[in-house]
Amino acid sequence: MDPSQLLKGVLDLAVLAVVADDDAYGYDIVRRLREAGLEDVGDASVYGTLRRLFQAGSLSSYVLPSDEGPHRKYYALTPAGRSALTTGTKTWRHFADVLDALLATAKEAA
Amino acid sequence: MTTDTETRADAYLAEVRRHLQGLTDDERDDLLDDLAAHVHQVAADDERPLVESLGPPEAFAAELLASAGLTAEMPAPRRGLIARARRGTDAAVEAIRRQPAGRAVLDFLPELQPAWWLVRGWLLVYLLTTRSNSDYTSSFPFPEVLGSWVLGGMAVAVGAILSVRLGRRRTRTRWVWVVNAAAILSAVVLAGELNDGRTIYVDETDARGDVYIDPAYIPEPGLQHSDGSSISNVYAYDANGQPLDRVRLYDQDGRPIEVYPGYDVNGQALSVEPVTGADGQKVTNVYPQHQSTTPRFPGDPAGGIAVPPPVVGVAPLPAEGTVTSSTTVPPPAASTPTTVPVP
Repeated sequence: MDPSQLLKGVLDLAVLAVVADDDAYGYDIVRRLREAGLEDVGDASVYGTLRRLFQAGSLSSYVLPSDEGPHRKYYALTPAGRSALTTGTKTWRHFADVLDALLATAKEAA
Repeated sequence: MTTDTETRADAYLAEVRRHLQGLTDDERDDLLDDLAAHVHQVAADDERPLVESLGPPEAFAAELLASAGLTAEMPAPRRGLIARARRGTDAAVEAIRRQPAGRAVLDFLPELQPAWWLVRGWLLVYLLTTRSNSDYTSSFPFPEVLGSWVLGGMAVAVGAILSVRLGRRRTRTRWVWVVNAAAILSAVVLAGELNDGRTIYVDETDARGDVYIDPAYIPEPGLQHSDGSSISNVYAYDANGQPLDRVRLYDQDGRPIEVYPGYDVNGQALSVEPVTGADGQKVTNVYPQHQSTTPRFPGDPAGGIAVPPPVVGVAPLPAEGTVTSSTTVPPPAASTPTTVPVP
């Protein structure tokens, strides 16, 4: 199974989770997702997702100067983003539970 | 971060931008704005080429579009003249971009944008203010507003600031095209008038010291020596070798002879102290002309300096009887009514 296909469906949730942990800028978000174990996450996917979540009102942004190089755009969770994270978490739990159960049945059968 | 990594990052970003087709300029800027810092940091932190660490620019652009929920498909080709013209220019730009030298030039063009913004502001204000003067006269480079050079300078400054602000706006509105078109039109109009010698020729200084332009006065060709060098002033001496002041000169038809002051040895424009006749009219053929340097700006220390007379030793002429004058041409008769006594 191609993990990148799976990732597409849950990247929104993963990004929301990272930002909920602490406000972060794009490069940092990519790094934290990879450190968390999502090694295959694409830089472009994260940026596209950030933009979409921002437009949907789940994220707000602010700019801070950085010690090295250009200013950085930090993203923070909005109240709407927090409720999206809560809903998404529930959906994921449910989905994961269902799939776990399915796989457990299949394992017994195998 | 070295310059090399910056160049690599910029080149990569330019490629990504090129592949973000089917977006409005607005959407594209929005996407790339954030990404620029990211790509620069990746270029600085990762030894590998960006094509390896981030993937090919095409794939990167496609992934960006897909994850942002923006359409990655090309929009149906638009019909109509403007759309076709735009496709034509896009294709031309693409062709230029394929050459390394062409790409270097295209990448340099945005650097010149702020200069254009300033010129654009100046052009529009200059044209508008010169149009508002009834005789289209103005000074250069700052126009006169209500007869004031300072107000003109301020108007140009405001125009330039507004133009730069318009240029810096992220969202490209139709206004930009309208303003650019108007500025280019202004440039064409002004260039045409410059060619006519109608505008932008500093001619004289009035009583307040304000420079103004008289479109009727064109300094070419004036009076010339036989070798073509121009005569910018005339000094008359009487038979005793004494300099004469306020001599009035006429040609064979009784027309006043005028010279044009031109420029001094330092290239500073010269202006003439006007002489007014008893009837209040300007008398233009009084010599020697009292010439002085024209200030280029208010308070110019190089302005207002009187031009000294030439140093010549004029020997007295012998008595009248010794001159052989067999064929004396009579003075022009027609001239008499046009002469005006100088007070």
